[in-house]
This record gives sequence, C-alpha cells and structure tokens, in this order.
Amino acid sequence: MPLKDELRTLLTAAKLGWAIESNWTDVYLFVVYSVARPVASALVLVFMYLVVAGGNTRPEVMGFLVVGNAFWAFVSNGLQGLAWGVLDDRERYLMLKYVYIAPARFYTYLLGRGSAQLASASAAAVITLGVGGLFLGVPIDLSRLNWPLLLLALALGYIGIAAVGIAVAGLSLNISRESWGFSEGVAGTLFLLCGAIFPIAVLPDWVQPIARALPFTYWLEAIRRAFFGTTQGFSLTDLDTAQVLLYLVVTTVAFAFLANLVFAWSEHRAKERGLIDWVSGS
Amino acid sequence: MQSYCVSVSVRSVPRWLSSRPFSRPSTLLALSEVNKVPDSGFPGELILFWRTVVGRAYPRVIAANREPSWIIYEILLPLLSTFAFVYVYKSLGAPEEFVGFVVVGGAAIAFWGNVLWSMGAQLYWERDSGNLDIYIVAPTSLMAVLCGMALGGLFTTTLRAVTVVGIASLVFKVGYDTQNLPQLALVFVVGMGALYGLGMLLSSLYLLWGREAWHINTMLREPVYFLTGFYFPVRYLGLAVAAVASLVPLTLALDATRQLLFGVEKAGGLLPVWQETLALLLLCVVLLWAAQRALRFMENLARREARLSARGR
Repeated sequence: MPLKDELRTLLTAAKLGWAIESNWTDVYLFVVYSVARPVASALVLVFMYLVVAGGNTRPEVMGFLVVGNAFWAFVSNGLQGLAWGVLDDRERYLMLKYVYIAPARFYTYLLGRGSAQLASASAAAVITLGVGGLFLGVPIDLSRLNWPLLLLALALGYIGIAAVGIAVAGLSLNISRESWGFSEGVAGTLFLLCGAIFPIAVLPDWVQPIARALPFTYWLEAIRRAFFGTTQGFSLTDLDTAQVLLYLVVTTVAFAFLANLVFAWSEHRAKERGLIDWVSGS
Repeated sequence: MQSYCVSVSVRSVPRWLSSRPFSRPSTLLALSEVNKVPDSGFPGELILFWRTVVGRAYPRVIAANREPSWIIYEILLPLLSTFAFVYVYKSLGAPEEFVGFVVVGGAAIAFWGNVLWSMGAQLYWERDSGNLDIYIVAPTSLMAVLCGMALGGLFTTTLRAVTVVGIASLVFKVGYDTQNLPQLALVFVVGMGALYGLGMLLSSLYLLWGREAWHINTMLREPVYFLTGFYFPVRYLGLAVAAVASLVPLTLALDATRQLLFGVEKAGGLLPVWQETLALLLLCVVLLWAAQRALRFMENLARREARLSARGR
C-alpha cells in the first residue's frame, strides 16, 4: 500500500481513537481524568520517600521517582490503547470485522487507533513533571535539559512501545473480552522489571539480565540522563550514555522484529479460528 | 468487564434454586426462580431476599472461576504492583515493617478493584450486555441482587487477597503479629461491610452513567491508592486529608489492620484501633442505608429517563 494511504489510515484511526477516548465527557472532566492518575501515582512515590527520609530528602531521588513515573504513562497508556482498541471495537462497538475488511491495512489502523492514548500520556507526563518541578523539589531545569538525547530517546521509546503494543493487540484478538487486564498485566510486568521507579540493582540477581534485555530499561535511563545529566548513572551505573543509546537501539529493533512475528502469528490464528468477529461476552 | 452472571451454565445452577428444568443458560433464570416462595409478608420476603442473595452470589463464586482472566486481574496485577513498591522501599533503605505495609496494601488493591469493577460498574456491564432490564423485571429486590454480588465478590476476593499476601510474605519474608486475630477479624468484617456498602452506593450511581463508568473507575484507582495510604501510613498525609480519605472505608481498615499486624508503634496509626473499628461500623451502617436509598432513587430516575436498557452508550 502506498505511503500516502498508510498515513491517511494512520491519521483517520488516530482521530477515531481520540474521539472515542475523549468524547465521553466534557473537557474539564477529561483534563481531570487525564491528570489525576499520573499525578496521584507520583504523589504515592513521593510520600513513600518522604515517610522514609523524614526531612533528609535528596532532589536526585525525587527526580528519579517523578521522571520514571511520568514517562511510564507512555508505556501503560500505549499498551492499553492498542489492546483495548481491539477489544472495544470487537466487543462493544462490534466494528472490528468491518474495519478488518476495509481497504486499509489493519496493522496501521491499530497503530493509529492506539496512538490517541499516547497523546493523553504526553499531557499527563508534562503535568506530572510540572508538578514535580514546581511543588516537589524535582531539579528540572529546561535550559540544562539535553534536548537531542531526550528527543532521540523519546523517538526510540515510541517505537518500542508501539512494538510491544502491537504484539499485545495481536494477542488480544485471540482472547475473550474478560481479559481487559491482559495489557495491564504486561505493563505491570514491564514496570516491575525495567526499574521504572527503582534502580534495577535491587532486583534479585537472576532477574537483572531480564531487565537488561528490555528496551524500556535503557529508555528510562536515557531520559533520566537527559533530564539530570549524562555524567551520572541511575539504574545502569556501569554504562556510559553512548552505550545506553546503543543498547536502546539494539533492544528496540529486536523487540520490533519479535513483535511483528507475534502479531502476524496472532492475526493468522484469529482468522483461522474465526475470532475477528468474535463476541465473547453474553 | 466482569459480567460473569451470563456465563453460568444450566448445569451449574443448583437444584435447590429450581424445581423445573431451565430452558436457557442464565443465572437470571435462577433469580426468577426465587419467586417460588410460599408466602408474602415478613418471613416470605426475608426468604426471598436471602435466596436472591445466594442465587446472585453463586455465579460469582463458581462461574467466575471458569474464566481464568481473574488470575491476571485479581492476583497477578496486585502482586506485580506490590513487588514494585516493595522494591521502592528496599531501594530507599526503609525499615522492614514498610515491606509489610506494602504487602497489606497489595491485598487491599484486590478488594478495591473488586468493589470498583465488580460492584460499582456491574450494573453498567449488565445493561451493556442486555441483562439489566431482566434484573429489573425479576420478582425480587435489586438490593438483594447487589448484596449477592457483594457476598460472592467478597468471598472470592478474600481468597485472592490471601493468595497475594501469602506469596508476597513468603517472597519477602514478612513477619506478622498474630496475637490480635479476633480483633483483626472484627476489623475485617466491619471494614468489608462498609467497603461493599460503598460499592453498592457506586453501583446505583452507575445506573445513570454510560461510558463514564469505565473512565471514572479508572480514575478512582491511583488517587485512592494515594489518599487511603495503600503504601504508607495514612497519618503522614495529615489529619485533615486522612479524615476526608476515611470516607473510603479502606483507609481506616488498612490503618487498623497494620496496627494489629505490625504493632501500634511501628504502624504509626491514625487513631486507636477501637475508634477506627467503631468508625468503620458507623460507615458500614450509613453506606448500606445510603446505598438502599440511592438505588431506589436512581432506579426511578433511570426509568424516567429510559436509561435502563440504553446499551452501547
């Protein structure tokens, strides 16, 4: 399919996804909804730290917690957007079969449909960082931010999120509607393994190699270095920034390749078993 | 998300609920069967109420276990977040009892998730799958249906929460003070009564909502984790915030549980346990009463606005 058509599919699906995500309420409640969760998550971590540290808080620890939490919203929302897009279209709106037979690439449609959640995540991340910088003592200095590193890390991170998301969406074609928690289970596992809110050094020794095989471990490390300086390590103290980026590229490419295989297998299985128009509820 | 009632099969409906063969597979038929009570009036209505409770609790206990997704939602997810927050405390060098606080908070996640998704939003799912109008015309009280949902949900979630606590305690070697088990049982009973009363209250509100139900439930997770002190003693939020947060019964239930399991000094409780137990008892009575009133009001409103059978909103 020509690139122009792919882009049109992507944009149309993104608009549809955004409409579904946002048109259930008024703007005010939508903003509260988008912001309440990530800010509350950040506050949970901050209070955990305050309780333990008493008055002796360190800005770098606060920064570690708030930045990790703010950017994790991209992963959780991205996976959720893609997986729930499949389940919503199939089970609630009963539209998946029509989308599937439409003259647009299904893969591209899913990416666009799920990308609306990334827009919500962007707003949530910005607001969480703003709250962290203004009220929680997180040392964010926009003039000292390493913008090239941040933008490069974000671009690679999006690819990694899309890769895992498309695999989860493909698998969701094969599971019943009761499995809404599937994407959250995947996101929760990644959250635990990639050191989103703690350094991976505290994980058991046998888990650390798994953590180092995940692109999100390097992604969060690169983002933290973009915010707080490339001279210090956070979760991966043994790697310099160039190595972090190299591992981020390698693991992202590997995950994208694997994810495409999983999606192709899942789609084939769903077609073979007649699950594209499955209504697994009542 | 979890409208389990429709997945129960004909064979699964116990014989005592019915004296004639079922023509279609639905627990709703089981509910209609409860009308076979010999007399109206006080004892008959009570029996009808009780049989409805048991009839609605039955699919929660039995049918739910036929859909293995609950393992993800009610055990894996609480375990994963529990582990993650334990590692946060470990990375911060927190005292050992904080690991125990997180483990107990992890169990509370299972209950809160159950109340939100399987109590609060349940009537929304039922409407979406076309069952709510059948519930309404069933010759029994909707309050009894909700009580059945609560009883069944409480039973299964307790088993799952115990699993979460057991696994996490084994992995992180958490020790508990077991000298106050009777008090703990009392706190659990009144705490859960109040919590599921809140769930019933929410479910009446959700009678009017469409897709908002889903999003409101999602929004009520992390903010509640924060305000109710799922991962740290709530008194650190200050008395005013903690007092407001106590409207969610988990706040006081968690605080009292931690005091009983880890000692008053280590847990740094908000109030003495007996005061928290009394407050929970009061909440239990008030929330159940409010739920009954709200259910009647919302049902009438939903009838007037023709929302009881409006699917796919």
